[in-house]
Amino acid sequence: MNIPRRNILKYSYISAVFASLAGFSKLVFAEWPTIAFDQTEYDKALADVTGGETMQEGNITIDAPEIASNGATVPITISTDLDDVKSIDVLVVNNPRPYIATFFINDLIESSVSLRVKMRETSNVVAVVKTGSGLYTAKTPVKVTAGGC
Amino acid sequence: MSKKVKIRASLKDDVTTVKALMTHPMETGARKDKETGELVPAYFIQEVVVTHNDTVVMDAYWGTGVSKNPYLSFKMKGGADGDTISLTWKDNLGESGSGETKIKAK
Repeated sequence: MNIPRRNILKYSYISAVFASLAGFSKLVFAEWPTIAFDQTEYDKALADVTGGETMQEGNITIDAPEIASNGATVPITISTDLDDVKSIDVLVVNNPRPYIATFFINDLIESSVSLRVKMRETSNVVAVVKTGSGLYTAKTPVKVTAGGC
Repeated sequence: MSKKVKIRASLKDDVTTVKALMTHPMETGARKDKETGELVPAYFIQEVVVTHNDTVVMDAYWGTGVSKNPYLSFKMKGGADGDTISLTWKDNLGESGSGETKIKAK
């Protein structure tokens, strides 16, 4: 195999970064859930995220604009006063890939996250909160006037 | 592309608010290049970790639905003026970026 000299340097740099992240990831991440993120149907994505467990309506607040003029960047804040929160999952029902993100929550932080999401069209934004005593969910509609996917 | 993360942490009433802005195109893999008509390959942040001094306080998995140049904010219990807050991300191509700040008491 004939790899130009400068590429060897490049490859070794990339491997070094991977190696450092691999050690790092073991502490923090199980594994990025490829299948769930690749789902194109909301029901399947939700089933992957919840593991098929039933959910209750919970004390979850989703702050999102009623009308989003730019679907490329819709600000949302999800917060909850439920106890023993493990994670907050975010889904947008009508997106080409509905599963947006999971945030892992622990005792060191409050159960609240803010982010910006892409929305293709008018849709419900769904939050799933996993706690030590089961799954909770809430949703809120956002009207999108110019899609951003 | 700048891999530097803009990050701020402010302490008030025993709660530290962390706000971070990353620079990343967050390509979904479904967008077509306007000139060539070809699909732009997926290129997006997958994992984000935030630490307080050396303790992980928040970590997240992201998909392609997070907006370009992602913003993240959350509130941490406690924290002290001068403590270090840092954020590291890793994308689907194995690249990473990070940023660090000191908590400022208000």
